[in-house]
Amino acid sequence: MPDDSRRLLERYCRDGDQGSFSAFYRGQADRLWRYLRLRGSAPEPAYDLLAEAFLRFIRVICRDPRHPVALLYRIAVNLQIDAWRRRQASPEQPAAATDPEPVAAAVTDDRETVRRLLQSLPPDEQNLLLLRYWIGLTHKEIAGMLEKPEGTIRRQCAGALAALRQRWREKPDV
Amino acid sequence: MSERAIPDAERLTRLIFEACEYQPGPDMARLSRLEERLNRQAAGRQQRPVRRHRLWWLILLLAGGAAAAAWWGGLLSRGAEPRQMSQPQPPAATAPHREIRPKANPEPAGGKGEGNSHLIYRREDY
Repeated sequence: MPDDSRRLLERYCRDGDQGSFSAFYRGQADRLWRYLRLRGSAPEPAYDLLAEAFLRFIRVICRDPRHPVALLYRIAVNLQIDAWRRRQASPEQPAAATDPEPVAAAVTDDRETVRRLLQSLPPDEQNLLLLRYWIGLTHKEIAGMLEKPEGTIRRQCAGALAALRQRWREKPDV
Repeated sequence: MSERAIPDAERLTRLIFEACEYQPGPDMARLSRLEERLNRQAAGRQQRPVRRHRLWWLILLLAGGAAAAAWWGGLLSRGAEPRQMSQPQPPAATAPHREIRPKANPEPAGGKGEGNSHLIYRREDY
């Protein structure tokens, strides 16, 4: 899938093919929104962040369209962090938007357990696991996105996975 | 359910994917409206490089024109100089040689001793 995204964006940047951009958007928007939700944004701010992330993405993507998905998520994460900082700086805004979404499904479901365990991890570890095992970025792409060496990312991913297993062992029902 | 086995790394990564993939998604109508807006932006963005391209062509054309004008100007001013200055000189090495070597042996009138010798010229030893 990252190769498809890359091809689409290269076509968009080279030939100005709007259809390619639309296809990229349709392939990424839904997942990016859910990613922002998993990282603690409330539904409405998640739409705003999504829109802003894509707008900024359009401005910069044609400079180097080699890793479009990593770039999009990098922009979205930075915007989300900025939003958190703004919220912390202004006392009127409630900080409840970072609370995880209420879960309707049964806790006995393994998927649900993993989701809850993921949300209980520190943000950095959670982010690594989402980017690597859900979004499907390579270690190299994540390293470029987070500006860290690839080996460090590899170790941190393994560490985050081990931490998740450890939490499962300690409290599988969360 | 606390008796559940701890999943191995492979199963855990699959569970991470499924847990995220099957969570509630966004309102697709909102995403479509956003797509329309973004498409307009994306179309606007795409036109700029083309315009910039045209500008570069114009600059290139002007620079090329200026260079050609300068070259022609230089050529014309050189053409206005006196003609003989630009004419090629005859090769200097052959002309004196021809002058030194006489076609026939000049016989000095009445001079017998030197006149028998074939020696035309001898370098003086100092």
